[in-house]
Amino acid sequence: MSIKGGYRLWAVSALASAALLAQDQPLAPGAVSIKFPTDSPIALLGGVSTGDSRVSARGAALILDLHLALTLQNTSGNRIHGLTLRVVSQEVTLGGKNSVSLFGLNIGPREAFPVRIEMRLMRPSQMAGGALVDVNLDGVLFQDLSFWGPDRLNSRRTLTAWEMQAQRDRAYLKRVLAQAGPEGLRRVMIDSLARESARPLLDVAVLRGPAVTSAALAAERTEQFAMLEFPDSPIEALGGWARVAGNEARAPRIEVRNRSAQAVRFVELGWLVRDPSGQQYLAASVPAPDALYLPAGKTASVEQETALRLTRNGQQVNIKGASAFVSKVQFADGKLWVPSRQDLESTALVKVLPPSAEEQRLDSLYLTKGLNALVEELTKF
Amino acid sequence: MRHPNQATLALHAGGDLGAMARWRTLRHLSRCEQCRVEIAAYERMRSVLPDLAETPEIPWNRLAAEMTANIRLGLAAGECVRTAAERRSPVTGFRAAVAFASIAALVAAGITLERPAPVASEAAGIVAEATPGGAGIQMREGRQALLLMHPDARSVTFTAGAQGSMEARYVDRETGYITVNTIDVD
Repeated sequence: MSIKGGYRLWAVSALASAALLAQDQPLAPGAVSIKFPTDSPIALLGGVSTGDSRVSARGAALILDLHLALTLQNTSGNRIHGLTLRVVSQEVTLGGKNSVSLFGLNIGPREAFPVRIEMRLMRPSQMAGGALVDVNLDGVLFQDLSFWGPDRLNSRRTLTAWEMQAQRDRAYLKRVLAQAGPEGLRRVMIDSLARESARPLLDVAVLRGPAVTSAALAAERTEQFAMLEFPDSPIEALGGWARVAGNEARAPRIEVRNRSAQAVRFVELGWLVRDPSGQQYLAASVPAPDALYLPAGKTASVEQETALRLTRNGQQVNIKGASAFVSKVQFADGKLWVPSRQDLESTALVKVLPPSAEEQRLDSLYLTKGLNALVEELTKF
Repeated sequence: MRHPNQATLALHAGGDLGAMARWRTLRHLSRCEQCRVEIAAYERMRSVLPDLAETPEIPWNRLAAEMTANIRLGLAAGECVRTAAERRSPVTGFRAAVAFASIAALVAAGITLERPAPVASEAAGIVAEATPGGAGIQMREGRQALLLMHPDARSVTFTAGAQGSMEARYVDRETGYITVNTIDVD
């Protein structure tokens, strides 16, 4: 290469580096695409605020910080109790199904409500043109449990299960209020908050891909699940196991039997683990694959090929035992079963599991606005 | 597995690495799909670099011409003041021999110290998790990541799904609504 050519290359490289370092700029118009179908029960009011969203270069990586504020309006004649927005980035090739759901809503016809989406994308090279992020509607759940939407993320099942848990927990609190008055309700709320602050927490990483081995881990073994039974569950968990090594557990497999009179098309189990001190934690949910169809009286295997890595405060949590329970069942006709309040309390699961979405909302309402606001809220439903 | 840094990968993509570094990088690439993807990304980026000159706000072409002219001016000035003694070959004599010996010793020490170590456990594939600082949930694979964040949220409940999902549930402080962010690598 000639000296002249070398200097040209040097100059171009320097300029290119300067250009890359200088790319810290506001989000371009059109970088976010929000589309709702014309017959959607919600509409976007006004424009989309992207606030101080930015695209910036950090070394060789490009980073998109997105701060999105929307105002949506209920254009249907029904009250909205929940919705799910699908958030897709074609630029991050690892793909995935990402969503932001709002729940605990009670939005009447023509009423407007805000939605915030805060996200960050990182990738190592240039972004192509076109929208970086697409936001679209996956589904809306109404007060009467009817649903509208393409439901590509199974939002109907998820939102309906949350609504059933909400109805269960509101009914429980209303019973307490009726039987023990406001002071009784206050005691229950304090118990709920105390339980939540005492609940043992784990940091769980879900690994999907080739099996990972490490010399630092103990030899892998098969850990049998102990099954927690709910008498009224339409599904009986018969037994199962997972492969366990140190603080990693993978490939759970649980046999279930449909003991109801109806066919079942979805089952989800809760997976608990025990550490060497005997402390129990919720590790993960274990859903059946979408293709499940389980006629009455038949058995099937619920299994997943992922691995869980468990830590707490940065330290490994070694797994000494595992148990499972049925947490959600959907019948072929779309109806759902979730454990009753009595089921959870009789097995002490109420101390291990997080509160339902509605209990979390009502706890927050009690903390921030007090008992009278909680009583008033309960009367709205 | 220890990956080459970004600068090494970028230089390798441009064919600008020295022989030893190139050999080590090639050896790593032969068993690391993730870095091969990175190299491909750099090569694609190199192919679009000429387009940067078209950025309207910055007169890159004029800047490049000015820099080239300055470099030529500096070279011409250097030629004017260079003496015959300075044109002596730099690769002969005792000092050069010592320099070569030192470099050889340095290279040998570098190879010894950088001998491949036992491979540490590292997540292969896609990982779904709460971010270490607790500001959000993310899925990541190699040097790509997508995060859904929950700034200012209190009492966030995280739930993992064995199919490959992570959920963060919290009460929005402004609206009072339950917000559930979900990433699902399934």
